[in-house]
Amino acid sequence: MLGQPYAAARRTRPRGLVTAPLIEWYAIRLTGAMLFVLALGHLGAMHYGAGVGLRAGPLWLGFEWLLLLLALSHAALGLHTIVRDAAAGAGARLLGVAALGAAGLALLAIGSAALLTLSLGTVAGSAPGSSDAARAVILVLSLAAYAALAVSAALFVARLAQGAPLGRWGLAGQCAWALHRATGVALAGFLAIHVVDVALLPVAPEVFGRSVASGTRLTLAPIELLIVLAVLYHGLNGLRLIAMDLWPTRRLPGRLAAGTIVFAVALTLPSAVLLLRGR
Amino acid sequence: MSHATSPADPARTVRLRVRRLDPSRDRRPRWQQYETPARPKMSVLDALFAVLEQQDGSLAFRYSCRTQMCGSCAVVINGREGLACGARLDDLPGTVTVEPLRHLPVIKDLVVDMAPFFAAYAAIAPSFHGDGSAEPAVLPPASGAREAVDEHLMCITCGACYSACPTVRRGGYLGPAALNRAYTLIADVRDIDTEERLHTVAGAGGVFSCRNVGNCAAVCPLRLEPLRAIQRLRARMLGG
Repeated sequence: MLGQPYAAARRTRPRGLVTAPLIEWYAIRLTGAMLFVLALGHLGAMHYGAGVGLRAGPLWLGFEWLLLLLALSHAALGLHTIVRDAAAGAGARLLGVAALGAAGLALLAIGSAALLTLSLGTVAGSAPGSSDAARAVILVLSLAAYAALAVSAALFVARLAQGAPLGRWGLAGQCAWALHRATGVALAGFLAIHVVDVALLPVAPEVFGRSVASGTRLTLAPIELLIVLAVLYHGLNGLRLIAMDLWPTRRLPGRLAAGTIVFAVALTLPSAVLLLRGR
Repeated sequence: MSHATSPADPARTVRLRVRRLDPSRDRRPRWQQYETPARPKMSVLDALFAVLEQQDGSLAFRYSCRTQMCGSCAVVINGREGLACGARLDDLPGTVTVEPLRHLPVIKDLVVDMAPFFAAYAAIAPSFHGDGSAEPAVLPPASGAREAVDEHLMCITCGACYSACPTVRRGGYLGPAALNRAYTLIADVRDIDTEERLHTVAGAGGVFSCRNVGNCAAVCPLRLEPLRAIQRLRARMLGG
């Protein structure tokens, strides 16, 4: 082995080295990287009017369904990591995994059905009997998903209440870590609401209309801006984490972490201008 | 005033706020405050000694070399891990808080049980294992093989990185020091246990549990970068 140049040895990937943490590493990063691209496309098309002509047909349906699948997978994996880091014991971790899996599946069912219904052009009221049944199914699945998410949140809060320290503030890496998790949790919460509200559109348009009408531009615009900022920061920071693993750097994590925040804020500015102009 | 403005002021005093716990007596940790005269260039360890000798003989802390070489006196000073013998009071304005290392059971006051830290260290088989040759081959200092390892070699196992790491808190994680040591052996082309160690560090509680926070590198008193060692191990497993 000594005769082998070190650089060549370093590049040699160990054989048979496939472990659960390695698979999880790939899963969360691959879903995250693809999701970032698709989420930006979704935001641009649905909220800023980009590519209006493309927003129809099976391709668009496939795009949206892939986005839904990736978003739910990434959210479940991310929340699972947080709950697992916080959960006090094996039982709590298992409960957290089960709850997140259940929530993800329920939201996937609701979202898939909504996308299919919307793409087929089904109008609420055309089939009153099935509409009532659909509302009931959405209600049950939504409640199940929210209850499961509440269980996960309770596990996390219970751990904090036991006095587990949150961490070390004042260090750049720690702040980036906390911010990544905070934006991730916020986006997962938004996703859970967004999937259900879109699902209401074909089966209960009056409820959907009321929920949208309840917000004014003054209240909705800041929320939308925060969502854009959260998506950009979470996505860019995720790419930073992937890059750090693939190309280890020396003494740069702090600067890269701070740079990511600046970059995300800068990229959010065009959205702010559009929102202020009322698009 | 707990601290004078000039380090050369002979009349100044330093106020120490020490987190104390005697598990045989106390149910919860408590803070105790001391004031002691401060000399120029005095370290936190010197101040603890002054308290021990002149005010409170029950105060417990650990030390050995007093020259930042052994790592025995690692504590949390003003919320950040460091060596008590290396932290100068001149650099610490105001009240100086001193706490035991985190994530480790407290034996008494600032003395923690390092057993969990060294159990994780032992899990990666931290000793060099050569091929049985009478003399291990010498790696020239300027060779790539040596340079890859050099910057991670000087760990004194003080436990500062272990205490600062938020992932250690959850339990089951090997921690930065153990993974840093694993890297030095895995990257050592003379060691023959590479495959076994790679499987250990790629498994549960290994390098994929690290969240890239980087507190380990921020607090290391020797300015080592365990995070970089962890990333290099991950990069190797990912084929990077």
